Amino acid sequence: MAQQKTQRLRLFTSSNFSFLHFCLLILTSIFLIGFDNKYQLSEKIHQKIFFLKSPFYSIINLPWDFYESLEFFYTNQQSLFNENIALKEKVQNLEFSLQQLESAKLENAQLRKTLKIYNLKNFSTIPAEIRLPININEKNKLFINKGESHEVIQGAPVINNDGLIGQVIFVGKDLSEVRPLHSSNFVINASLINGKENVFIFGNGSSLLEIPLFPIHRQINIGDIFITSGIDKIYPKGIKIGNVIEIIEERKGQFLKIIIKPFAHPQTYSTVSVIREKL
Amino acid sequence: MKKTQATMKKELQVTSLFYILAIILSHLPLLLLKDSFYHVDFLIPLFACILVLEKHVLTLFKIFLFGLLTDLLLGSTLGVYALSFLLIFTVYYFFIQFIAFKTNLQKLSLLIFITFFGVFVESLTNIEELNNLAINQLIINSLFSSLAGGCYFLIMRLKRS
Repeated sequence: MAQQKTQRLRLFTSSNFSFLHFCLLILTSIFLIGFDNKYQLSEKIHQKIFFLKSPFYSIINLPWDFYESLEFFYTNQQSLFNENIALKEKVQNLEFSLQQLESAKLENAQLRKTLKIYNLKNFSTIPAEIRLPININEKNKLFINKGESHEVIQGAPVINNDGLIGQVIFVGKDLSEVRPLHSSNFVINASLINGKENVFIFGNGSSLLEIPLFPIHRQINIGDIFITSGIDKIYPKGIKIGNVIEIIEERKGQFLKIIIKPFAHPQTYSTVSVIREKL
Repeated sequence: MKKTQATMKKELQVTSLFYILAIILSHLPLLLLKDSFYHVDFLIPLFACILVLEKHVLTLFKIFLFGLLTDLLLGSTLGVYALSFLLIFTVYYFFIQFIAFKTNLQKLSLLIFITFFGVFVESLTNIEELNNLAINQLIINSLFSSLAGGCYFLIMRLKRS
């Protein structure tokens, strides 16, 4: 019994470590947490070792890829036929929209000429698919199957049909990591859809976005839509971000806290587009 | 009973295997837990299981390094797991000084308790998620993690027997 007790005690009071070491290590851990939160040290390390992690992410995607190829191989003729009809209908609708767009484009060019507005930069899109992991130990993650080899660059915005999704933060050869717009460190310059009110919208780690200090004298209503302002020169102007769902008074009524629900929810997209500037 | 060199080597291999498995599982979306609101922490119950079953002679520095490695592999804030593991170890040490955990049921109870504690500490130290922390989420996550701990315990026990 006594021997057992001594053996247990050895765990904490071994010759190498003492209570002082314990306190030192606890303090080091707390210091590291604080330092990392301030200087984003883990992100920098993550960026350096991203190429090491890429093969691992490819491996965890293997079962899904295998299932998809099997499904594609065994899809019956009827379902392909139905899909074909649906796609044809979609193409027709898109062609109609394209015609309208062409006339709007001409009208826009004419108006720009009249008003002497300079042309905005042109952008092209790179289609991509969402890959696993979508969640690493509680944190939402977003990986796409396009990387350096597809000319994806760090900082490029990522969108889908619903609106803005996030921004590329790490680029591997055939894989990139996207920071979703609702993650804690995400900030974006936005304006209301009518062009008024240039503000910074922050992600807060939940599924919603917020404007922490919005001046109370400015006009804003529930349901107002925010779009990218284009001022930051990263996100093209006019990408939908979200709409206002809640307005809360802050700092004894001097400011408002605006809660915004993003149009693109992390669970709703499987294919996305990476925007890149045309050279 | 003193462990032989071969037993220690085997235990290290098994633990390393479990560790790799836990890291992989942390990256996979679980069928029943697609919403990130709930999740299973696989690393804390594994560490608790190693402690409770006394699989290795752990030193504080080893625990700290183990925590840092976990932080790096999971991409979480540096120091979160290191601090959690150190505090789990303190709680474990405190308990074994006063109570003798001999039967499997007693050890399992201790494992569940320190897993609960570990998940609480890990959630509280994760500043990024702290704003959105809900108590029901925390309790359910701890329950899921304890369940994972129970599985580790059973497998390791079976292996031993």
